[in-house]
Amino acid sequence: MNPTQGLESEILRPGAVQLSALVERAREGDGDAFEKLMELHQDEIFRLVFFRTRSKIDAEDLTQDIFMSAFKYLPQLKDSDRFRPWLYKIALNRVHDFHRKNKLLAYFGITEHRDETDVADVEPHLNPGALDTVIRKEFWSCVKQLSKKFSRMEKEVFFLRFVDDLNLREIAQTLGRSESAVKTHLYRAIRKFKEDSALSGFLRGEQHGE
Amino acid sequence: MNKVIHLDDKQIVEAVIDESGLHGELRRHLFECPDCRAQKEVLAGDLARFGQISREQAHLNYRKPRIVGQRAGWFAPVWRVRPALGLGLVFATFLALLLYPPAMKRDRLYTQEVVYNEMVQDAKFMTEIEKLEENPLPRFYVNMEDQGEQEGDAQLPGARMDKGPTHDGESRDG
Repeated sequence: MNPTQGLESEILRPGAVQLSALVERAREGDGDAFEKLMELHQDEIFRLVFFRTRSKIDAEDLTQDIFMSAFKYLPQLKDSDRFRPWLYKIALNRVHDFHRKNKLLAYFGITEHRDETDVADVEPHLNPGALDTVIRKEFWSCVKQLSKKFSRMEKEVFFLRFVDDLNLREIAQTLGRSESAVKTHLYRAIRKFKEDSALSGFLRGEQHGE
Repeated sequence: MNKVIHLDDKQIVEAVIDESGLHGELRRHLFECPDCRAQKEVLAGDLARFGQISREQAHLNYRKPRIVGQRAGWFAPVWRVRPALGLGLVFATFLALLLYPPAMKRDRLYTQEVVYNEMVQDAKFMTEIEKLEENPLPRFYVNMEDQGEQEGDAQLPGARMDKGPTHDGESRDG
């Protein structure tokens, strides 16, 4: 069987076993396997960074930096099943470094600092109609209000679970916390989410509007 | 008549987070009770919708990451992989060149060929010294001295009388 064909079939069905096999190959120095891993994860990593930096250019640079680090340190990853949390951990660390650096630059008046706890205030780019723009702005306004109610860990856990779509175990591995601690933070965050009538109303209205 | 106990808000949130974490009886109730199930699904739906809208905000046409030089492997320049190793290599090369025998001038003094050449040069030098001791003036001056002696003899008074008139054409006797 042609090894390339095998690789393609793995990409079409990137289950846990196939992902582990790709990680194993990449760890052994297979450049093609790493490129496939990158293709599989680049969108979600870019999205993670974009929501936390609110800048497309910064998100692009950081995404590049994250994958360079992943490529460099991949041989040190002991358990190939933990690749995704490991990659997310690198991404979150890079984002924290970025905010720390920006904070320092802002202190000296070199750049404008955006608080890490803020949520993305993004310009809508999909369906850029006037109504769509208004709806998106309203959505982000609601999310911003909600985000202010969260502690840092609650916000991190909440976004990793519902925006980045990580499961509880992956979140625990990414943040280096126990699953029960993650559940506790998530519980508090969901309670706050549930009590936020503006966001709930928006979400249900949006759903019925479709 | 048994009173039906529905799940409270806290238990609904717990069910959304991890249904398997609920107590067995509650889990069974959640499975059987349409009201509790609906409450759970509304909350789970809101959260899923929140995630979906958030994900839709991300750009699709962004610059894709690239791993530059990943295929270099063993052929990657060592100073790019380990700067300290690169510096060490440069230092070792410099040291090797410095200590390489042909590069060291002092060794050239002690080779057999150099010693033989020096002996030949010394022998030539000694021969010249001996010649100079015998006749310290150069050959040109030696020739000039011989010629001068012959001319000087010709100008002596005795020789002039024998040989006829002086330079003005008159005889001294006359």
